Amino acid sequence: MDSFVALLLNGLNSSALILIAALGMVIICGMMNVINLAHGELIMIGAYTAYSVTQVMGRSFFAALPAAFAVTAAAGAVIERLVVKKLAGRPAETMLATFGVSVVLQQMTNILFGAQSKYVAIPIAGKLAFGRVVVPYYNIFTVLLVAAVTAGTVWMLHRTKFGKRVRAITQNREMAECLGIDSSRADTLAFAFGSGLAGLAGALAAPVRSVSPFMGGPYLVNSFMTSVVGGVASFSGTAAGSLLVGESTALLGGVSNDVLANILVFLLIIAAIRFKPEGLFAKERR
Amino acid sequence: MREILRTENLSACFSGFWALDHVNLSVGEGELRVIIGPNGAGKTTLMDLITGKTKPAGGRVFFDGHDITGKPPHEIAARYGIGRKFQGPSLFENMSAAENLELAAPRENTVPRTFFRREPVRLRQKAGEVLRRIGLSEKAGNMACELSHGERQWLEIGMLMMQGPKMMILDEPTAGMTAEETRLTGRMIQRLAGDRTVLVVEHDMDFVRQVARTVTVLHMGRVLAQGPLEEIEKDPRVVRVYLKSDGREREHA
Amino acid sequence: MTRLAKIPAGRYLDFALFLALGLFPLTGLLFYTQLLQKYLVFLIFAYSLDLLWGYAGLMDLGHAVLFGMGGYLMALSLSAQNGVPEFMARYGVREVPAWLAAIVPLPAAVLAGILIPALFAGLLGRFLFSSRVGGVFFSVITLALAQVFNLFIQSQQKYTGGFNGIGGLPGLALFGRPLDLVQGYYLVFAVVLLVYAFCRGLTASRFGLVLRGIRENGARLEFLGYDPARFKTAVFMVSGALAGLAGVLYVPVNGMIAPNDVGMEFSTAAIVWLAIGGRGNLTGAALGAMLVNVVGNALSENFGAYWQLLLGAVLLAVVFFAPQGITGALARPARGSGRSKGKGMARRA
Repeated sequence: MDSFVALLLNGLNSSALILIAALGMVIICGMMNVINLAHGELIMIGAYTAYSVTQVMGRSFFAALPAAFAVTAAAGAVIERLVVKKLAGRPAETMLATFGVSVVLQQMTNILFGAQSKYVAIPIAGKLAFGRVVVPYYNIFTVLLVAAVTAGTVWMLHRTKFGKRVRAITQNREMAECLGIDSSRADTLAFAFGSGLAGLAGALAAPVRSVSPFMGGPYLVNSFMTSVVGGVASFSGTAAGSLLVGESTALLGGVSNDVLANILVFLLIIAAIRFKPEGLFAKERR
Repeated sequence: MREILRTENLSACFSGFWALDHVNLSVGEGELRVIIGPNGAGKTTLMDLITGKTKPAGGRVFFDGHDITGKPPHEIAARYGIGRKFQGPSLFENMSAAENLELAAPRENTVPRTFFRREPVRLRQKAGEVLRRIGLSEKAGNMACELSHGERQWLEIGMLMMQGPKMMILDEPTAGMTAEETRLTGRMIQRLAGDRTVLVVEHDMDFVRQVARTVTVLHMGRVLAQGPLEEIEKDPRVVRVYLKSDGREREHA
Repeated sequence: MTRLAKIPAGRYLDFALFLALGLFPLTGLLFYTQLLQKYLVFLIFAYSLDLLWGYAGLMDLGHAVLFGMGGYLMALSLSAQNGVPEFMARYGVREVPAWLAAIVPLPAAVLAGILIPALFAGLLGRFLFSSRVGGVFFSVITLALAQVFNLFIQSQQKYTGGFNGIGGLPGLALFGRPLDLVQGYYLVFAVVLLVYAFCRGLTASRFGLVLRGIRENGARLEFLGYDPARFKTAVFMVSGALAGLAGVLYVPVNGMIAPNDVGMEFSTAAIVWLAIGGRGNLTGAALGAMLVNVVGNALSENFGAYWQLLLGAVLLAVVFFAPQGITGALARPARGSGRSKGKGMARRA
């Protein structure tokens, strides 16, 4: 029983990381209909920012988090303006171009930092123990932070003017433009925000996962799968999807080995996509 | 006249919105029926249901004695013989006009019949003939995306000619055409109608007048009125909803 | 118009390329001949992707998985020619497992290496294409497949040599007699020509016409009576078979196979070849594969990571300035005024 609870809690941590990584993708892919194959590299930028701020500049990890958000958001804004905007409405070209961007980002990081994995210290050491279940404090922090950020994102999209503008554009771009909304600027900002979230995910993952120029691939795949399972444009769906993916991977990983867990989850996700391409939790559209 | 198409209480629902509400339609074999109605009346949805693009929420569709309700589009097209021209038009853009037509062959459309198989000569000949009929012989090698709008509409009509289905559904075949092009299209369609059943969804009342005999009027997912054009034009319900009293299409508020 | 003029321009390029490749061993540059031999195998891989992506419009981001299946089957067979392979023995495997024994005879290995990827593609295709899974989903799923397959291969060290792969394998042999480099080169070259002829024949047939129709407007085809799912599954199977064949040839040519060869990296490499060379005409696939690999080999010797960086930048440039790749850019002046509409992968409703 204890180990089950431990697995469940660990799964929660994985789910949190998956969620925040996927959240950015939901905004960019689900809401703006942009397929960004450089998503994993945005996460990587966030991780390297965390590395630079903590290990190179010696500052606190808690300064690294907003830094990671800001740097990656800036990178996202540049990518949107230079690449994505120009290829609007052409998914295949966007995929190829963002793939090119991902290669460029990987190699630049490789050249600047080297291919060796970087080490980022866990900012909150120690574990919480109740009974025989042990949960690292950092995991709790991660889950809480992700929950807060998710709530904040939802609040921003529904309560602020900017958020409402973005939602208007995703639902009916032409109408929104007629109403005077600068859709081009909103696109850039929304893309930047989604990228920032990805960067935050990378920073959060940095102490507990490996940091290398080529770390992005699995994150890209996971984010895609999760957001698709949840219903690409739905936040609650993505949250549920992350939970599903994170928990099932953890539980299955506890029962058999990690790789098998990955394979099974992959199969489950394919089945989910196949039978419900609009996502398990999406609302039906006309 | 033998009935070839019948819908019984056909309904379609999208997230609570009833796009079609118990539509009963009957079309005779060889008839040229025009379906009119304001935007959002459900005309295209009705066509979607008949051709299998969308599954109905209720009701049935019968074609040529068979129940085709809910069957997949390719089966309805190949096995039962219903062809459709889309509102777009919907073509194969980066392929030549001739290739567009060659794709519309009625029999060579399964994997075994196409794997490593060449184009049958009769198909190429038929394509040439159809190109003549739609006036695009000169443009056989041009990419579909290079053609003018009117030519693209005709190309898709040509694809239907190649396909040779028992019933053709034309969704706004004259959309975006000049008056002259509209008239030519009308003649094309009238020539088609003789051998087979044609359903035309249209907005342009001049065109409707050129080709129509029986007209069905849809409004808010229901059949509002049906009958010969002259009666429809005078029907007060239709006038109120759709036509201005002088017979021209009213601006739908 | 003479008959010569009716031959599409691309065939001249093909001919030139094959001529150059066919004559190269005569230069005596053995090192480069060996390199080109590997690139010949890549040509087969590129052709297989072109059928799937260039003609049918299905952007497979995990194509190396099919390649890897063929490759690993061949590697396993070659390594078990004299009983239990060393890397398995290390894990306590005493007897050759039944499935491995079945593919020890080389013809069986070749057959398995071609058929198993084809069957896998067929199953996956049947599953995916029968729903309205659109192009983007297919790409995402194949990307995930690449990752999962890579992990799987690495995790099954007992049977796959894990992270290090399977190495020390013998070179090409025909009817039991090992071939020297030049002989092996021409064997692979002959296979490439056969594959080329096969692909040309297939794409020129009605099947090719339908594939292009699927790429252009798959939804429309349904209303003409075609079941696009069946065609997609069929081309996926053919493409899988060819990719598997490439994998089968790769192993004796390269001497080893590793998880790196079967994951995202190699899959996306082929995507880059086709993006740069052009797709949907076979010529571009060969051109892109040759160009990127030859130039890449020359540059990466001196510049390492900068070459990859350059490649990424070139890819970006291609997408912006020549979205149809080199062959696409060459073809446009010949067409005159027409601007091809860049056809994206429309997500089906």
